[in-house]
Amino acid sequence: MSYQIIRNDDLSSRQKEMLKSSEKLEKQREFLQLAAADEPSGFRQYFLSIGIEGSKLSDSMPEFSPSEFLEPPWESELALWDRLSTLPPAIACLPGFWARFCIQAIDEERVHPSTFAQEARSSKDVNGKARIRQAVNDNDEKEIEACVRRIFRVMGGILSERGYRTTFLDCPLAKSWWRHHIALRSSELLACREHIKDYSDALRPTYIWNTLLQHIVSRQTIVGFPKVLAAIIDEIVRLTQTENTSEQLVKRKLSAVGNQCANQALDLLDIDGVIDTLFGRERWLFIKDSVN
Amino acid sequence: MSMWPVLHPQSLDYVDGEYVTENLNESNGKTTIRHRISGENLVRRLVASGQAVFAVEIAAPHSAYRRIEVAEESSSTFVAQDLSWDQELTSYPVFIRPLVVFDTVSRLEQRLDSKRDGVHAAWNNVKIVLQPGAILAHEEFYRPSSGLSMLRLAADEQNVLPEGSFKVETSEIDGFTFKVFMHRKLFDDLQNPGASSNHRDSILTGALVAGLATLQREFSGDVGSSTNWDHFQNLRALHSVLQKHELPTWEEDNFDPALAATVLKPIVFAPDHDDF
Repeated sequence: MSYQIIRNDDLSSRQKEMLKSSEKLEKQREFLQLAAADEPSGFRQYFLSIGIEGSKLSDSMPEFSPSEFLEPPWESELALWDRLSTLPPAIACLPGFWARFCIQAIDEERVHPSTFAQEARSSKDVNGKARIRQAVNDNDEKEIEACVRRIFRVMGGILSERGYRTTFLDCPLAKSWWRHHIALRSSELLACREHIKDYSDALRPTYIWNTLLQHIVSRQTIVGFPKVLAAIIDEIVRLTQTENTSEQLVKRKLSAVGNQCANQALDLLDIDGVIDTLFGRERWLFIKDSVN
Repeated sequence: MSMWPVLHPQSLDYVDGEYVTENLNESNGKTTIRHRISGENLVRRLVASGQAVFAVEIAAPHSAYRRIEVAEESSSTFVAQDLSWDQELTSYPVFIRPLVVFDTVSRLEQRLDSKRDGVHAAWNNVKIVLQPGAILAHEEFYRPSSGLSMLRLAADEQNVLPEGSFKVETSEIDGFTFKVFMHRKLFDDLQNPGASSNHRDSILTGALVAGLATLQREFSGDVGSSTNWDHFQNLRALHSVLQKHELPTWEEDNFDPALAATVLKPIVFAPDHDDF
């Protein structure tokens, strides 16, 4: 039985209609009024009317505060994984799945749609509902569009803008799920399940996550192989614990790995062989030199 | 230059022999890849002696899936490799790249001889070290790359299109495609064109013109800086195909959708002269 999703293609068409059509402002105002209404049934209906595929509903979303929802800490990441550990990756990469999951959370009164308009680090005074009302009352076109984009992004992403990376980058729940999936897989490959939190933490900084995703989803560099990724994450943890890491160092290191090992089928080696190939003394010194 | 010579279509490293593959019967998460290596060269010798094997890289980047599968049969220079991938782990599109891989345990140091090893003279007398898992030969990724393979035909279920008409919309699904909605009768006729397959192809070329024109509108840079075609694998492939044909791409002012479409899928016109 497959998980319920909002039909991806139609969701994308609806987003384009909302963000690019000539009557977009009026559509955006109506959409935001649905999102800010105390009774969320209109907002819910807006998404469900797009069309549903599949039949299996997910387990209920955990009880999250708005800030947990928008940036799940480790405990929330674990709680989410607990509900969705059997979710197939081929479904977890679809904006339509996360949009459906968010609608389910609204149905179960775990979250109000206006929360999706809130920025993750905004102060309590500027919650999603206040942000929407101010934008609509001021007829601030730029802010109205920013709220609409934010809602679509948080609910799974906007495919027409960032391709499939959008789900991994823009949707906090999807990001948390994928971070845990990669951290768990890496800890299993490295035979150290006890380090899973370290691996997940290593993936939290935006620059690390975005850089890795660029290699894994957008480009097909060797970083996308699970063993290579595990070795790199382990190295990032080591770096973070022993010396200062930086965006520049991580980016240079990843491109050095990609360039030097592009002609090696590292996936066929055992994990020690991968680590040795990537970060053996000779190669590691070369990479460090290329950064300095 | 790689640390060792690599045999592939864009490389000048080898002057004798070739690595040729075929992707047979790809459907529903499985296919068969036929590998063949020929000529007098180092790669062929290593395959024949069992020190190198045929393999296939499978990538479904949207769902972060990547692995390499080695062919069971070894020491043969012609192998048919059956492949399958778990569809729960792989979101479409799935890319496949055939490889020849050196032994994954030991390493080999060798001084090359251009005559014996079939390599370009520039490699003559060069000492190479083949690392475990070294890729000795590879093909390009099999993936949708002609504009035509991006067309997805569908009947107009809402019955709003007049008879004989179609409309084209872009879709970000499946790595970016052109959805061609057709009047039901036209759609049905195209499924079984009989002797009119040239006519069918010309209609599809027309649909491709419309798709490329939409692409030009959506990605010519006037719809906001956040929109970027480069996120979509199919568009990256199509972009490089246009460049190979030395045609302008959709970002350029002189991009011509009709010219691009008819170069990618030339119209075959076979007039019937019996009446004359």
